[in-house]
Amino acid sequence: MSTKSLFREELAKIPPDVRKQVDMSWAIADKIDALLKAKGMSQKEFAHLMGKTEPEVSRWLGGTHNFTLRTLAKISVVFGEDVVNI
Amino acid sequence: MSFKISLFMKHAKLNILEETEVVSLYTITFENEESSEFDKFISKFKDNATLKHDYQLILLALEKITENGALERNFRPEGKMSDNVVALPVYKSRLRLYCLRLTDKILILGNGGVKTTKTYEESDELKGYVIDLQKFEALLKSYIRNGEVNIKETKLIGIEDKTFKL
Repeated sequence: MSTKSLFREELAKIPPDVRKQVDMSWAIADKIDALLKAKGMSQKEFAHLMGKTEPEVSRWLGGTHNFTLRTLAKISVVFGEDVVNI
Repeated sequence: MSFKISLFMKHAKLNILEETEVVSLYTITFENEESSEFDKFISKFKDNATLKHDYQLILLALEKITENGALERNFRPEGKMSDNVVALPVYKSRLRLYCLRLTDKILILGNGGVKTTKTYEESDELKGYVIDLQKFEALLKSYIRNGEVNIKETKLIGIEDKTFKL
């Protein structure tokens, strides 16, 4: 089996809830990245405002971080706008 | 006094895995081996119940990368400051897939494993995967410098019949 088909075959086996989780975490990471750029805020400054370390904030921007509601709420407060719309 | 001299040299080829408008994913296949390095990673972990979730998130991250590009923030820096070896996933996990992120538009996938030591250098297996990618990058850059290989947007031009001697 070629590499391409093995990769795609394995992707096809992933349950929809796991796929949805990554869709959401990826979208949140993109949103945080866009807000940082729009507000001209560095990751260092953002980490300081969040009371977190820079490596921790870097992990959030990776795209597969499992955010807690508490973290999402605090990020929304720091940016002054909701990062997730329900 | 004795000296150990390694004369072992591995020959490898680069194969395309996925091509999209924003990125190309390549993988390395060593001479006389049927599976690519990325295939070996898949085969090792596809039936591992303990690491199933981490394995699935790595595959899904790669799928997202095919849609959005291989952005620096999507990877964990690994290797040395002087090279472009990176790893997935970014979040805390014991599983690692090592890659060579040449640009936002070109990503080369290597092999990976379970990180049981504090650093990859302490594991012969993981260190081997990283060193293979470091050697590969050095060779590729030398080919790019002398014009044998060119980077054109998402494509590496001139690698089709090229053998890399690592």
